[in-house]
Amino acid sequence: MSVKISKSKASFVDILRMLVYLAVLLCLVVLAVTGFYPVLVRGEHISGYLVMVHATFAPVFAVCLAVMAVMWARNGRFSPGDWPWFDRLVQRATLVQNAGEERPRSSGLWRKIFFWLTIFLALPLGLSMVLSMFPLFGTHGQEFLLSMHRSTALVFAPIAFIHAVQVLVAGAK
Amino acid sequence: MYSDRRIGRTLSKRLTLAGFLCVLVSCLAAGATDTGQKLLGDESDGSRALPIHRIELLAASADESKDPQTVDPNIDPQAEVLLPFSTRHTCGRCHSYEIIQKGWHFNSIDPNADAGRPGQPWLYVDAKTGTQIPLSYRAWAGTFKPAQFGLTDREFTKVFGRQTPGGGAGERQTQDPDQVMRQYISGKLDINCLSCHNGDPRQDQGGPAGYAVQISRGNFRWAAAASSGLALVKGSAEDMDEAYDPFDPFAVETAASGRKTPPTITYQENVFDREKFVFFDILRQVPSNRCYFCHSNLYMGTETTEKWACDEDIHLKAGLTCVDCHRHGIDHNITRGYAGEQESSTHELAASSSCEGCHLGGDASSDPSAGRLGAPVPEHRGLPPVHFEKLTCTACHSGPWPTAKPYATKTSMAHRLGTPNVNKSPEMLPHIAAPVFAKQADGKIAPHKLVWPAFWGILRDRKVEPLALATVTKVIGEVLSKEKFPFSGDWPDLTADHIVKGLTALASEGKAVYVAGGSLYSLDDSGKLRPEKDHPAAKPYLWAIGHEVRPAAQALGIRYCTDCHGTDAPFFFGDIMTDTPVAQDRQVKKMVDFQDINPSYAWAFAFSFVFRPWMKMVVLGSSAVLALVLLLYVLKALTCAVKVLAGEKD
Repeated sequence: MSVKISKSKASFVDILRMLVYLAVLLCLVVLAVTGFYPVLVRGEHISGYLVMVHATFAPVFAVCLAVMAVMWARNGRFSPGDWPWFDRLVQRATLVQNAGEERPRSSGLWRKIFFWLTIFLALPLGLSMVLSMFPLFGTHGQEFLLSMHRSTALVFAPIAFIHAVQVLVAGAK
Repeated sequence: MYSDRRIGRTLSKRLTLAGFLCVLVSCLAAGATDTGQKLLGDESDGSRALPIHRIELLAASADESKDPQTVDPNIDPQAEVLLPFSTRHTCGRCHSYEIIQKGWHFNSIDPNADAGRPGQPWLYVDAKTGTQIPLSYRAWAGTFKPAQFGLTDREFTKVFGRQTPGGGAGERQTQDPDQVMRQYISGKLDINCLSCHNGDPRQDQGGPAGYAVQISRGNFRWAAAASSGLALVKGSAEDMDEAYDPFDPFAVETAASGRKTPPTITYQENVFDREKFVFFDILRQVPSNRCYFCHSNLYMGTETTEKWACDEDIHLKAGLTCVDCHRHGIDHNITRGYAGEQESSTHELAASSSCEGCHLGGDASSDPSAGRLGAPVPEHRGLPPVHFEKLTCTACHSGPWPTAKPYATKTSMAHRLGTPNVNKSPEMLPHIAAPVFAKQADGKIAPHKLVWPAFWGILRDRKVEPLALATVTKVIGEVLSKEKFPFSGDWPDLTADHIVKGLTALASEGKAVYVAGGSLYSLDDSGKLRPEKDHPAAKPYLWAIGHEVRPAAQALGIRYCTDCHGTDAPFFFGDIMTDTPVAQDRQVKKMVDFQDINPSYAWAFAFSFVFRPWMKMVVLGSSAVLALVLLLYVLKALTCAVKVLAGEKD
């Protein structure tokens, strides 16, 4: 009964958080398809309408990801319950014993790690492309930025998808 | 007693030895022959100093198989004819003429010579028959061989030899019995070494009695001497009848007393020294001014049409000359300098003579080769590397800055610039448009010059073959005889009725067609005119622009991406008018039509650049937020870590 009530009282912010997350996921799928298909499947550079779709969804993705970072960051905080082994290590090192208090154990450590990895990797992913649009880097710099964008995307995409799966699994529980 | 086997083995050894000796002797003989063929000036001893050229002048004999004769200005004109010196013999005494003949400027008639990238064709124009046709002896798709157009080598040379350094078709032995005597009178047009290598300021290519005029008069034998500044040539071989013998003093004297003057030469005073030798101011490094005679461009329709108001190619302004990039040895196999030339050329500098070769260096070279001749290594800041796959260097750097409509362009070869009595009207045919940004064979977009062929032809097996000039001149000349032709040299206004009359008059030749402005006109079974637009046989001919290189500060894209990626940027959306004498059928095409790119896509992509600044700001802003969130929580984590390590409780 109490669960039903709490669900019905889900705040507007919670809905917004989920909507933002869904938007991030949608953009991610579009960007992954348009970005990886020509390069990995066809062995060509991204070009034509694909690049236009890619470039259209990229800023939307960036905005949604920033909003998501703001809204989800607090939930992504690591708590002492995320690493009881660290607590024990500190206690042994400092010889200070907790007075029998048991910290609540968290089950979302990996979800949090993947969340922060997503946020962290989004920086080189976005900046590598946007900085190449300014007259700052020469040809070698441009090639470096492009390869950084590609390699970061290769790491970013699976991490973001794994995080999405974790969120879905956690939500289902 | 020797056994049979032993005898056989001994014989076998001896035969092998004899065979080996035969091969060795043959090789040595061949080597000796090669060595023997090398003349004094065929191989440099390494000195960069200029050798002096104080030499005797040699003239070709009437019988070409006989030795050349030394030119003596003091001969008895009653007994001998004073002949023009022949470069083949005078220069050929120390430089192997046969080797030089294989050079790019002279080998167009050689079917084995690699045609390379399509270059500028010879454009035969005749407003009175609505003709503007690209011709070339080279196998460039879209051009026609002069013979296909009914032009003999001699006729071709008379029209176009003005802006060649001789050789090629001009010196090919005619097989046509009707032309044998004319060739005997005119002589062959030897390679004119002096066209390029004469440092004498009197070298006269385009003056009233210079090279171009001599060729138009059929004075092929006299052209080199007339232009050298050493002699004066009068008269015209073309005016002489076929019985005239230019080597017979009596014939010359007789002809001279008539109404038409035979070609005669008078050497300037003090040309010959006491030993009857002549000094030539020969330059190894050809001055750019010599190249300009045949390779000038004039882009009209701007405020800077006058040449004093136009900047030259940045390379020339930086102190280079044409031959710094376009180099060759005695074989005169000059580098053309385009990217990819090394794939079809054996020239050792082909790879390093392109834009990339000098500015970036070649990958093939083991030594650093970038920055040749002081070429700056480009940075291309902010330019996505994909541009180097889609565009040639010249796309952004060569030719005039693109405008909404390409410039009406004149070239020396097409408009005989620099020769007497040139029609200076901007409308003068042929009509060449430039720059046209079109995709070339290697898939890259490059600036081109473009001309729309216009000619009368016959449709055979779905292919159009041009009708012979003589036929067209006679038949179509009569059909259009009552029309008025603009004094400017522009097209007459042809109508459908004119074309119907023309095609009807030419019907006896076969399935007559008229090609103009990208359309192919023919008559259907009922005699009505049937125009087919964008017919493959009517495609425009394009050749790449390599020069008029602008500095980096004036390259396309220097201001912003919208220099090209604008919704009205000329690079994609410039208007190209189809050039045709049929005024009613003139239509406008977009530049993108020549780039194998979907126009809608090009426009949509260009339109996306309206939002590009916003996109940059959005992504930068979002990245800033992400970075702040990360920083905030990293600091928080650090605080926690510090607290834990300090033994503080929450």
